[in-house]
Amino acid sequence: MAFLSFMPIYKREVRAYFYSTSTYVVLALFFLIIGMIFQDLMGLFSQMSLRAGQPSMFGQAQQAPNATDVIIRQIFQVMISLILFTIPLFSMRLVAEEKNRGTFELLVTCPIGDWAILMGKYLALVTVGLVTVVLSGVFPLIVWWAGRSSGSAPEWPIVISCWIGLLLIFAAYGAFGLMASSFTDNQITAAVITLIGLILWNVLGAFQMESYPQLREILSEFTASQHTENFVRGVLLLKDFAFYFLAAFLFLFIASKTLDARRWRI
Amino acid sequence: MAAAPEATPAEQPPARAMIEVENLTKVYGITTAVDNITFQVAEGEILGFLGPNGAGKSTTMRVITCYTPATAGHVRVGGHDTAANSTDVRAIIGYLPENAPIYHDMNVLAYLKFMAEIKRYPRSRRKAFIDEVIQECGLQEVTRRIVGNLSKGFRQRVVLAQALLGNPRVLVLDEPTVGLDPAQIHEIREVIKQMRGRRTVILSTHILPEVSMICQKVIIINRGRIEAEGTPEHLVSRMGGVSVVMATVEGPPAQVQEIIGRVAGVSSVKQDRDLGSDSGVYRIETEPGKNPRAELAKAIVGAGHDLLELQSSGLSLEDIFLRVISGQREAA
Repeated sequence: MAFLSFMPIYKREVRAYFYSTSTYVVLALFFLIIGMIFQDLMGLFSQMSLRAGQPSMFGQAQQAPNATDVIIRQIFQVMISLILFTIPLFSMRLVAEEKNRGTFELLVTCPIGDWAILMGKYLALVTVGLVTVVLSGVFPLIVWWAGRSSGSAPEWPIVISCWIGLLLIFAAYGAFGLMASSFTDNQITAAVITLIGLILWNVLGAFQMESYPQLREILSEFTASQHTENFVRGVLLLKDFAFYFLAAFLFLFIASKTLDARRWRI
Repeated sequence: MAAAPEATPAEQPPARAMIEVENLTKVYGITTAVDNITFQVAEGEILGFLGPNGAGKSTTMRVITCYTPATAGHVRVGGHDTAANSTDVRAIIGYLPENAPIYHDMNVLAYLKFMAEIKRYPRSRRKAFIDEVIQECGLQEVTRRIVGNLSKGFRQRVVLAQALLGNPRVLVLDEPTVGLDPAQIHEIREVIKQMRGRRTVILSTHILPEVSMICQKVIIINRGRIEAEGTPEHLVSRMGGVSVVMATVEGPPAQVQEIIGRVAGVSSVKQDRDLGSDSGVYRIETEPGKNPRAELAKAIVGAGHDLLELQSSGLSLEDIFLRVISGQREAA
């Protein structure tokens, strides 16, 4: 049962997340912002629907808008950027707080491996991500409910691929946040490192680098935002899964080496 | 405190050493926190680790508990090397770190359950272990309270309770009584004293009476080096059998001190307290192996001063401690 040794840590961290007010404050803000944008998009959609069939100023009949294009895909993009700002708030305490309080010392002097500690904490963070993603499933449901009589239902395959994408992105960003938290005993430092790191990770491919087009191409493959495009199209590709999984693994590996570094004889 | 006629621990190693520290050195950057120390703790023994703040007590304990590796040297606990078999070592140690760190958002029972789980005790025995330490540390009334709302004393006891979980063979307690009120200090000392012979304990402190009350063996550490080692009695005798006489005398202090200083066998005298109206308490240290109380009384009375009280006592651990750390150790 050694591989389940992360369970006590996992249970404790999940409880810490859902017993803490800050979790609910962050989630409330998250859904408040998305809800406001969602409402705008719904309004836009209904205006477009009303105009459908009427001749535009060029004389052609306007096409009926597509709920998936106008609402779902937009909301997906908004959520991706919001997750980037939410992750640091969720992940900053994971290791940094323990180091700061001194509980880290007690934890690692118990007969439990660093990897179990990290896995427990990481899976707890992913659980928070899962809850966030599942809760945000309310938006496609509202679209479906509002359009059930007019037949403008969202395209479910695209919704599903987008929402799987959200969870993957949350998991990869979360691993980065956990890594940053293991670097320091200051939660604010951890949050700032996470935020800056995630932003950099998203704009890697945007650097122009006129003289090195190959390098630019390589960098853009390593850019987090590049791998969200297929989810929007409703395509689940192995390479996107592999990208986020490998990234998460790499960050967790660095985090475990960071914890291990205190045992190095220097 | 009489000098016990016994061999020094260095000449007679304990039958079975539970903790063996061998030439341990720990360097942090440019600071040498622990400098080539060697000592052993026998099974069932309670060792007091005594030293001023920053002497290297916590660092040594952190190496023993596998929190931090040694820069040089070896530490073995229960036969396992802390560097090579850290998991085996950690499995037999209960540790109370300095300042008793604890998760503030859990209740006491949930915390103890959590610790029992990560210490990998079998599910079937966890409840018994938890009930036992709740009893032992007197936590019955607070089991449902959130740790963050408890007083410092209770928090300390909760962390001590997790260290005792599952009867670990070795206990490492870093300043277990800091921040407690006198009644709680007394309770914790009783808890630790009960362990004599059953568990191997290392405890660090800078409170001297604590050591003479609880420990069978004392190590005085200063600036990363062991300055003295032995039983509390042994340390006193190592100081050359110096004894201290406290005398309460009526008379002008300067004159009284001069009279006392002239008595054969007295090595030093100073006024300890001024009781007013020309009377005072004098602290008189004797030369090794001498106890010139009768001569003192005769000299004081003979000079026409009133002798109100004369009391002989051994050199206290406090005196030894101060001598040792100020580098004024007398050659034995």
